[in-house]
Amino acid sequence: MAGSSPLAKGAIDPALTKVLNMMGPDRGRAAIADAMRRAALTSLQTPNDRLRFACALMESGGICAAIGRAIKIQAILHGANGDPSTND
Amino acid sequence: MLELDYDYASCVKNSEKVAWKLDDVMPEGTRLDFGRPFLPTALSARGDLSFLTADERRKLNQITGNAYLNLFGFVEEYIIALAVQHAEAEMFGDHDAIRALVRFADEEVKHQALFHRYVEAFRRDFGHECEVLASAAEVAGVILGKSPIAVMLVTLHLEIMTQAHYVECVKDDTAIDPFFIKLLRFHWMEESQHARIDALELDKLLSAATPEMIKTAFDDYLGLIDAFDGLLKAQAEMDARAIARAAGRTFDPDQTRQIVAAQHAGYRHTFLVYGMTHSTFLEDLAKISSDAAHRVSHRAKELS
Repeated sequence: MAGSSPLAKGAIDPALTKVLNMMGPDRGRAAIADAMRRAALTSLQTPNDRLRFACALMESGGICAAIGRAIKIQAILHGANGDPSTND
Repeated sequence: MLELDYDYASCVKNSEKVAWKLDDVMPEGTRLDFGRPFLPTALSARGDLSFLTADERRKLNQITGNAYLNLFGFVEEYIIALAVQHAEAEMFGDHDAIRALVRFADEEVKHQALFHRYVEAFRRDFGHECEVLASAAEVAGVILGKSPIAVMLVTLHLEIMTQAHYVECVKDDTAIDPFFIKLLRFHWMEESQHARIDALELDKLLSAATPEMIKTAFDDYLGLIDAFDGLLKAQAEMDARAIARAAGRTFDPDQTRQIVAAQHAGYRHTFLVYGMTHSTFLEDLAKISSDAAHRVSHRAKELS
Protein backbone atom coordinates (compact mmCIF):
# COMPACT_ATOMS: atom_id res chain seq x y z
CA MET A 1 0.00 0.00 0.00
CA ALA A 2 2.98 2.26 -0.56
CA GLY A 3 2.89 5.42 -2.72
CA SER A 4 1.48 8.92 -2.42
CA SER A 5 -1.21 9.02 -5.12
CA PRO A 6 -2.74 6.16 -7.12
CA LEU A 7 -3.00 8.47 -10.16
CA ALA A 8 0.34 10.23 -9.80
CA LYS A 9 2.51 8.73 -12.52
CA GLY A 10 3.29 5.54 -14.42
CA ALA A 11 0.70 2.99 -15.46
CA ILE A 12 -2.66 3.51 -13.79
CA ASP A 13 -4.18 0.42 -12.21
CA PRO A 14 -6.87 -1.10 -14.49
CA ALA A 15 -9.39 -0.81 -11.64
CA LEU A 16 -8.92 2.95 -11.57
CA THR A 17 -9.01 3.13 -15.37
CA LYS A 18 -12.54 1.75 -15.26
CA VAL A 19 -13.61 4.65 -13.02
CA LEU A 20 -11.91 7.24 -15.22
CA ASN A 21 -13.33 5.66 -18.41
CA MET A 22 -16.88 5.91 -17.15
CA MET A 23 -16.87 9.10 -15.11
CA GLY A 24 -14.32 11.24 -16.91
CA PRO A 25 -11.12 12.67 -15.37
CA ASP A 26 -12.61 15.16 -12.89
CA ARG A 27 -15.52 13.21 -11.43
CA GLY A 28 -13.46 10.02 -11.70
CA ARG A 29 -10.55 11.44 -9.69
CA ALA A 30 -12.94 12.69 -7.02
CA ALA A 31 -14.70 9.32 -6.79
CA ILE A 32 -11.35 7.49 -6.60
CA ALA A 33 -10.04 9.81 -3.90
CA ASP A 34 -13.24 9.39 -1.89
CA ALA A 35 -13.22 5.58 -2.15
CA MET A 36 -9.48 5.35 -1.39
CA ARG A 37 -9.97 7.49 1.73
CA ARG A 38 -12.91 5.42 2.94
CA ALA A 39 -11.00 2.19 2.33
CA ALA A 40 -7.90 3.63 4.07
CA LEU A 41 -5.75 2.97 0.99
CA THR A 42 -3.11 5.07 -0.74
CA SER A 43 -2.55 2.75 -3.72
CA LEU A 44 -3.80 -0.53 -5.17
CA GLN A 45 -1.14 -3.21 -4.92
CA THR A 46 -2.97 -6.48 -4.32
CA PRO A 47 -6.29 -8.13 -5.23
CA ASN A 48 -7.45 -7.51 -1.64
CA ASP A 49 -6.65 -3.77 -2.01
CA ARG A 50 -8.83 -3.74 -5.15
CA LEU A 51 -11.60 -5.59 -3.33
CA ARG A 52 -11.58 -3.04 -0.49
CA PHE A 53 -11.50 -0.17 -2.98
CA ALA A 54 -14.40 -1.72 -4.92
CA CYS A 55 -16.52 -2.14 -1.80
CA ALA A 56 -15.89 1.48 -0.80
CA LEU A 57 -16.76 2.67 -4.31
CA MET A 58 -19.99 0.67 -4.30
CA GLU A 59 -21.14 2.48 -1.17
CA SER A 60 -21.53 5.64 -3.28
CA GLY A 61 -24.34 4.04 -5.28
CA GLY A 62 -25.36 4.82 -8.89
CA ILE A 63 -22.70 4.34 -11.54
CA CYS A 64 -20.05 3.98 -8.80
CA ALA A 65 -21.87 0.87 -7.54
CA ALA A 66 -21.85 -0.65 -11.04
CA ILE A 67 -18.15 0.10 -11.58
CA GLY A 68 -17.35 -1.10 -8.08
CA ARG A 69 -19.14 -4.39 -8.74
CA ALA A 70 -17.05 -5.01 -11.87
CA ILE A 71 -13.82 -4.22 -9.98
CA LYS A 72 -14.92 -6.44 -7.11
CA ILE A 73 -15.55 -9.43 -9.41
CA GLN A 74 -12.22 -8.89 -11.15
CA ALA A 75 -10.45 -8.72 -7.78
CA ILE A 76 -12.08 -11.98 -6.63
CA LEU A 77 -11.11 -13.69 -9.91
CA HIS A 78 -7.54 -12.64 -9.23
CA GLY A 79 -7.52 -14.14 -5.77
CA ALA A 80 -9.00 -11.53 -3.41
CA ASN A 81 -10.76 -13.10 -0.48
CA GLY A 82 -11.19 -10.23 1.96
CA ASP A 83 -8.52 -11.67 4.24
CA PRO A 84 -5.70 -9.11 4.54
CA SER A 85 -3.25 -11.77 5.70
CA THR A 86 -3.34 -13.81 2.48
CA ASN A 87 -2.42 -11.52 -0.38
CA ASP A 88 -1.83 -8.12 1.13
CA MET B 1 2.80 -16.75 -19.78
CA LEU B 2 0.87 -18.78 -22.37
CA GLU B 3 2.35 -16.84 -25.34
CA LEU B 4 -0.92 -16.63 -27.28
CA ASP B 5 -0.92 -15.35 -30.87
CA TYR B 6 -4.56 -14.18 -30.96
CA ASP B 7 -6.69 -11.63 -29.12
CA TYR B 8 -10.32 -10.96 -28.15
CA ALA B 9 -11.04 -8.96 -31.31
CA SER B 10 -10.01 -11.85 -33.58
CA CYS B 11 -12.19 -14.22 -31.54
CA VAL B 12 -15.20 -11.95 -32.09
CA LYS B 13 -14.50 -11.77 -35.84
CA ASN B 14 -14.23 -15.54 -36.16
CA SER B 15 -17.31 -16.05 -34.01
CA GLU B 16 -19.33 -13.77 -36.32
CA LYS B 17 -18.15 -15.72 -39.37
CA VAL B 18 -19.35 -19.11 -38.11
CA ALA B 19 -22.49 -18.08 -36.17
CA TRP B 20 -25.61 -20.23 -36.69
CA LYS B 21 -29.24 -20.33 -35.58
CA LEU B 22 -30.66 -23.11 -33.43
CA ASP B 23 -33.69 -23.66 -35.67
CA ASP B 24 -31.47 -23.97 -38.75
CA VAL B 25 -29.48 -26.79 -37.17
CA MET B 26 -32.30 -28.64 -35.44
CA PRO B 27 -35.83 -27.38 -36.17
CA GLU B 28 -38.43 -28.09 -33.48
CA GLY B 29 -40.03 -31.49 -33.99
CA THR B 30 -37.00 -33.03 -35.76
CA ARG B 31 -37.39 -36.84 -35.75
CA LEU B 32 -34.29 -38.87 -34.91
CA ASP B 33 -33.10 -41.80 -37.02
CA PHE B 34 -32.06 -44.81 -34.94
CA GLY B 35 -30.75 -46.88 -37.87
CA ARG B 36 -27.08 -46.17 -37.14
CA PRO B 37 -24.84 -45.70 -34.09
CA PHE B 38 -24.50 -42.10 -32.89
CA LEU B 39 -20.97 -42.12 -31.51
CA PRO B 40 -17.73 -43.38 -33.07
CA THR B 41 -16.09 -46.40 -31.44
CA ALA B 42 -13.37 -44.18 -29.95
CA LEU B 43 -15.96 -42.33 -27.85
CA SER B 44 -18.13 -45.31 -26.88
CA ALA B 45 -18.14 -48.04 -24.23
CA ARG B 46 -14.75 -49.69 -23.67
CA GLY B 47 -14.99 -53.38 -23.02
CA ASP B 48 -16.01 -56.68 -24.54
CA LEU B 49 -19.76 -56.83 -24.04
CA SER B 50 -20.07 -59.97 -26.16
CA PHE B 51 -23.31 -60.98 -24.45
CA LEU B 52 -25.07 -58.08 -26.19
CA THR B 53 -26.57 -58.62 -29.65
CA ALA B 54 -25.62 -56.28 -32.50
CA ASP B 55 -28.97 -54.51 -32.12
CA GLU B 56 -28.41 -54.08 -28.37
CA ARG B 57 -24.91 -52.72 -28.96
CA ARG B 58 -26.28 -50.13 -31.36
CA LYS B 59 -28.92 -49.17 -28.79
CA LEU B 60 -26.28 -48.87 -26.07
CA ASN B 61 -24.25 -46.65 -28.38
CA GLN B 62 -27.32 -44.44 -28.93
CA ILE B 63 -27.99 -44.28 -25.19
CA THR B 64 -24.36 -43.18 -24.79
CA GLY B 65 -24.76 -40.59 -27.54
CA ASN B 66 -27.78 -39.12 -25.79
CA ALA B 67 -25.90 -39.01 -22.49
CA TYR B 68 -22.87 -37.50 -24.28
CA LEU B 69 -24.92 -34.54 -25.51
CA ASN B 70 -26.66 -34.20 -22.16
CA LEU B 71 -23.26 -34.06 -20.45
CA PHE B 72 -22.29 -31.13 -22.66
CA GLY B 73 -25.54 -29.37 -21.75
CA PHE B 74 -24.76 -30.25 -18.14
CA VAL B 75 -21.30 -28.66 -18.02
CA GLU B 76 -22.46 -25.69 -20.06
CA GLU B 77 -24.55 -24.67 -17.04
CA TYR B 78 -21.43 -23.60 -15.15
CA ILE B 79 -19.62 -22.36 -18.29
CA ILE B 80 -22.46 -19.89 -18.98
CA ALA B 81 -22.19 -18.53 -15.43
CA LEU B 82 -18.41 -18.40 -15.77
CA ALA B 83 -18.49 -16.46 -19.05
CA VAL B 84 -20.99 -13.96 -17.64
CA GLN B 85 -18.88 -13.54 -14.51
CA HIS B 86 -15.74 -12.85 -16.55
CA ALA B 87 -17.67 -10.46 -18.83
CA GLU B 88 -18.91 -8.57 -15.79
CA ALA B 89 -15.34 -8.30 -14.49
CA GLU B 90 -14.38 -6.62 -17.79
CA MET B 91 -17.24 -4.10 -17.69
CA PHE B 92 -16.09 -0.48 -18.16
CA GLY B 93 -12.73 -1.77 -19.39
CA ASP B 94 -11.77 -3.80 -22.47
CA HIS B 95 -14.73 -3.70 -24.88
CA ASP B 96 -13.33 -6.40 -27.17
CA ALA B 97 -13.07 -8.73 -24.17
CA ILE B 98 -16.65 -7.90 -23.14
CA ARG B 99 -17.93 -8.66 -26.65
CA ALA B 100 -16.01 -11.91 -26.88
CA LEU B 101 -17.19 -13.08 -23.45
CA VAL B 102 -20.82 -12.08 -23.97
CA ARG B 103 -20.89 -13.88 -27.34
CA PHE B 104 -19.27 -16.86 -25.64
CA ALA B 105 -22.05 -16.92 -23.02
CA ASP B 106 -24.76 -16.49 -25.67
CA GLU B 107 -23.35 -19.32 -27.77
CA GLU B 108 -23.17 -21.62 -24.76
CA VAL B 109 -26.81 -20.91 -23.89
CA LYS B 110 -27.66 -21.77 -27.51
CA HIS B 111 -25.63 -25.00 -27.37
CA GLN B 112 -27.38 -25.95 -24.16
CA ALA B 113 -30.76 -25.32 -25.80
CA LEU B 114 -29.68 -27.44 -28.80
CA PHE B 115 -28.66 -30.35 -26.59
CA HIS B 116 -31.80 -30.10 -24.47
CA ARG B 117 -33.84 -30.16 -27.69
CA TYR B 118 -31.96 -33.26 -28.81
CA VAL B 119 -32.34 -35.04 -25.45
CA GLU B 120 -36.08 -34.24 -25.56
CA ALA B 121 -36.35 -35.67 -29.10
CA PHE B 122 -34.44 -38.75 -27.96
CA ARG B 123 -36.83 -39.20 -25.05
CA ARG B 124 -39.78 -38.92 -27.47
CA ASP B 125 -38.44 -41.16 -30.28
CA PHE B 126 -36.24 -43.81 -28.63
CA GLY B 127 -39.18 -45.61 -27.08
CA HIS B 128 -37.58 -46.42 -23.72
CA GLU B 129 -36.84 -44.29 -20.70
CA CYS B 130 -33.18 -43.18 -20.50
CA GLU B 131 -32.07 -41.40 -17.36
CA VAL B 132 -29.47 -38.65 -17.64
CA LEU B 133 -27.66 -36.52 -15.07
CA ALA B 134 -29.95 -33.72 -13.98
CA SER B 135 -28.27 -31.76 -11.16
CA ALA B 136 -26.48 -29.25 -13.42
CA ALA B 137 -27.11 -26.17 -11.28
CA GLU B 138 -25.89 -27.91 -8.13
CA VAL B 139 -22.73 -29.11 -9.87
CA ALA B 140 -22.18 -25.63 -11.36
CA GLY B 141 -22.21 -24.25 -7.82
CA VAL B 142 -19.55 -26.73 -6.70
CA ILE B 143 -17.30 -26.01 -9.70
CA LEU B 144 -17.61 -22.23 -9.39
CA GLY B 145 -16.69 -22.50 -5.70
CA LYS B 146 -13.18 -23.63 -6.66
CA SER B 147 -10.26 -21.30 -7.40
CA PRO B 148 -10.85 -19.19 -10.54
CA ILE B 149 -7.70 -20.54 -12.22
CA ALA B 150 -8.84 -24.12 -11.62
CA VAL B 151 -12.28 -23.37 -13.05
CA MET B 152 -10.66 -21.90 -16.16
CA LEU B 153 -8.34 -24.93 -16.46
CA VAL B 154 -11.31 -27.29 -16.41
CA THR B 155 -13.08 -25.15 -18.99
CA LEU B 156 -10.06 -25.08 -21.30
CA HIS B 157 -9.76 -28.86 -20.90
CA LEU B 158 -13.41 -29.30 -21.94
CA GLU B 159 -13.21 -26.92 -24.90
CA ILE B 160 -10.01 -28.46 -26.30
CA MET B 161 -11.43 -31.94 -25.76
CA THR B 162 -14.66 -31.03 -27.57
CA GLN B 163 -12.75 -29.89 -30.64
CA ALA B 164 -10.55 -32.98 -30.59
CA HIS B 165 -13.58 -35.29 -30.41
CA TYR B 166 -15.03 -33.79 -33.57
CA VAL B 167 -11.82 -33.41 -35.57
CA GLU B 168 -10.12 -36.65 -34.56
CA CYS B 169 -13.05 -39.04 -34.06
CA VAL B 170 -16.35 -37.82 -35.54
CA LYS B 171 -16.07 -35.83 -38.75
CA ASP B 172 -14.77 -38.57 -41.07
CA ASP B 173 -16.70 -41.49 -39.55
CA THR B 174 -19.07 -42.73 -42.28
CA ALA B 175 -20.65 -45.41 -40.08
CA ILE B 176 -22.39 -43.11 -37.62
CA ASP B 177 -25.61 -41.09 -37.86
CA PRO B 178 -25.10 -38.06 -40.19
CA PHE B 179 -27.42 -35.87 -38.12
CA PHE B 180 -25.35 -36.53 -35.00
CA ILE B 181 -22.22 -35.54 -36.95
CA LYS B 182 -23.97 -32.37 -38.08
CA LEU B 183 -24.81 -31.36 -34.49
CA LEU B 184 -21.24 -31.90 -33.38
CA ARG B 185 -19.92 -30.00 -36.39
CA PHE B 186 -21.95 -26.90 -35.51
CA HIS B 187 -20.96 -27.24 -31.86
CA TRP B 188 -17.27 -27.52 -32.80
CA MET B 189 -17.42 -24.46 -35.09
CA GLU B 190 -18.20 -22.16 -32.17
CA GLU B 191 -16.23 -24.03 -29.53
CA SER B 192 -13.01 -23.28 -31.42
CA GLN B 193 -13.34 -19.63 -30.38
CA HIS B 194 -14.32 -20.58 -26.86
CA ALA B 195 -11.06 -22.46 -26.33
CA ARG B 196 -9.16 -19.34 -27.39
CA ILE B 197 -11.17 -17.10 -25.08
CA ASP B 198 -10.55 -19.56 -22.22
CA ALA B 199 -6.81 -19.35 -22.89
CA LEU B 200 -6.92 -15.53 -22.95
CA GLU B 201 -8.83 -15.43 -19.67
CA LEU B 202 -6.54 -18.03 -18.11
CA ASP B 203 -3.50 -16.04 -19.20
CA LYS B 204 -4.95 -12.95 -17.53
CA LEU B 205 -5.57 -14.81 -14.27
CA LEU B 206 -2.07 -16.29 -14.35
CA SER B 207 -0.42 -12.92 -14.91
CA ALA B 208 -0.91 -11.95 -11.27
CA ALA B 209 -0.98 -15.40 -9.67
CA THR B 210 1.45 -16.47 -6.97
CA PRO B 211 3.08 -19.95 -7.01
CA GLU B 212 0.81 -20.88 -4.09
CA MET B 213 -2.31 -19.86 -6.07
CA ILE B 214 -1.13 -21.98 -9.01
CA LYS B 215 -0.55 -25.00 -6.77
CA THR B 216 -4.02 -24.60 -5.24
CA ALA B 217 -5.47 -24.30 -8.75
CA PHE B 218 -3.99 -27.63 -9.85
CA ASP B 219 -5.12 -29.31 -6.61
CA ASP B 220 -8.62 -28.00 -7.32
CA TYR B 221 -8.46 -29.03 -11.00
CA LEU B 222 -7.55 -32.61 -10.09
CA GLY B 223 -10.24 -32.59 -7.39
CA LEU B 224 -12.81 -31.54 -9.99
CA ILE B 225 -11.60 -34.30 -12.32
CA ASP B 226 -12.24 -36.85 -9.56
CA ALA B 227 -15.65 -35.35 -8.79
CA PHE B 228 -16.56 -35.43 -12.48
CA ASP B 229 -15.47 -39.07 -12.60
CA GLY B 230 -18.05 -39.81 -9.90
CA LEU B 231 -20.76 -38.23 -12.05
CA LEU B 232 -19.65 -40.30 -15.04
CA LYS B 233 -19.97 -43.47 -12.97
CA ALA B 234 -23.50 -42.43 -11.99
CA GLN B 235 -24.33 -41.95 -15.70
CA ALA B 236 -22.87 -45.38 -16.48
CA GLU B 237 -25.19 -46.95 -13.90
CA MET B 238 -28.16 -45.15 -15.47
CA ASP B 239 -27.09 -46.48 -18.88
CA ALA B 240 -27.06 -50.07 -17.58
CA ARG B 241 -30.67 -49.67 -16.48
CA ALA B 242 -31.56 -48.01 -19.81
CA ILE B 243 -30.11 -50.78 -21.99
CA ALA B 244 -31.96 -53.41 -19.95
CA ARG B 245 -35.21 -51.56 -20.63
CA ALA B 246 -34.36 -51.05 -24.32
CA ALA B 247 -33.30 -54.69 -24.77
CA GLY B 248 -36.40 -55.90 -22.93
CA ARG B 249 -34.44 -58.35 -20.82
CA THR B 250 -32.77 -58.60 -17.44
CA PHE B 251 -28.99 -58.80 -17.24
CA ASP B 252 -27.47 -60.84 -14.43
CA PRO B 253 -25.37 -58.97 -11.82
CA ASP B 254 -22.07 -59.81 -13.54
CA GLN B 255 -23.33 -58.62 -16.93
CA THR B 256 -24.68 -55.45 -15.32
CA ARG B 257 -21.31 -54.87 -13.67
CA GLN B 258 -19.59 -55.32 -17.06
CA ILE B 259 -21.94 -52.83 -18.73
CA VAL B 260 -21.36 -50.25 -15.99
CA ALA B 261 -17.59 -50.79 -16.15
CA ALA B 262 -17.50 -50.48 -19.95
CA GLN B 263 -19.66 -47.36 -19.96
CA HIS B 264 -17.70 -45.75 -17.14
CA ALA B 265 -14.37 -46.52 -18.85
CA GLY B 266 -15.73 -45.05 -22.09
CA TYR B 267 -16.90 -41.83 -20.43
CA ARG B 268 -13.63 -41.54 -18.50
CA HIS B 269 -11.64 -41.84 -21.69
CA THR B 270 -13.94 -39.48 -23.60
CA PHE B 271 -14.37 -36.68 -21.05
CA LEU B 272 -11.34 -36.93 -18.77
CA VAL B 273 -8.35 -38.72 -20.30
CA TYR B 274 -8.95 -37.27 -23.77
CA GLY B 275 -8.62 -33.72 -22.42
CA MET B 276 -5.89 -34.42 -19.86
CA THR B 277 -3.61 -36.03 -22.45
CA HIS B 278 -4.30 -33.70 -25.37
CA SER B 279 -1.08 -32.13 -26.61
CA THR B 280 -2.53 -28.59 -26.82
CA PHE B 281 -3.75 -28.74 -23.22
CA LEU B 282 -0.53 -30.29 -21.93
CA GLU B 283 1.59 -27.68 -23.73
CA ASP B 284 -0.41 -24.93 -21.99
CA LEU B 285 -0.04 -26.68 -18.62
CA ALA B 286 3.70 -27.07 -19.09
CA LYS B 287 4.02 -23.31 -19.65
CA ILE B 288 2.29 -22.74 -16.31
CA SER B 289 4.15 -25.40 -14.32
CA SER B 290 6.04 -28.45 -15.57
CA ASP B 291 5.46 -30.20 -12.23
CA ALA B 292 1.74 -29.60 -12.48
CA ALA B 293 1.65 -30.83 -16.09
CA HIS B 294 3.41 -33.98 -14.90
CA ARG B 295 0.82 -34.45 -12.11
CA VAL B 296 -2.01 -34.19 -14.64
CA SER B 297 -0.34 -36.68 -17.00
CA HIS B 298 0.21 -39.08 -14.11
CA ARG B 299 -3.45 -38.85 -13.02
CA ALA B 300 -4.55 -39.41 -16.63
CA LYS B 301 -2.54 -42.63 -16.73
CA GLU B 302 -4.20 -43.80 -13.51
CA LEU B 303 -7.61 -43.12 -15.04
CA SER B 304 -6.80 -44.92 -18.32
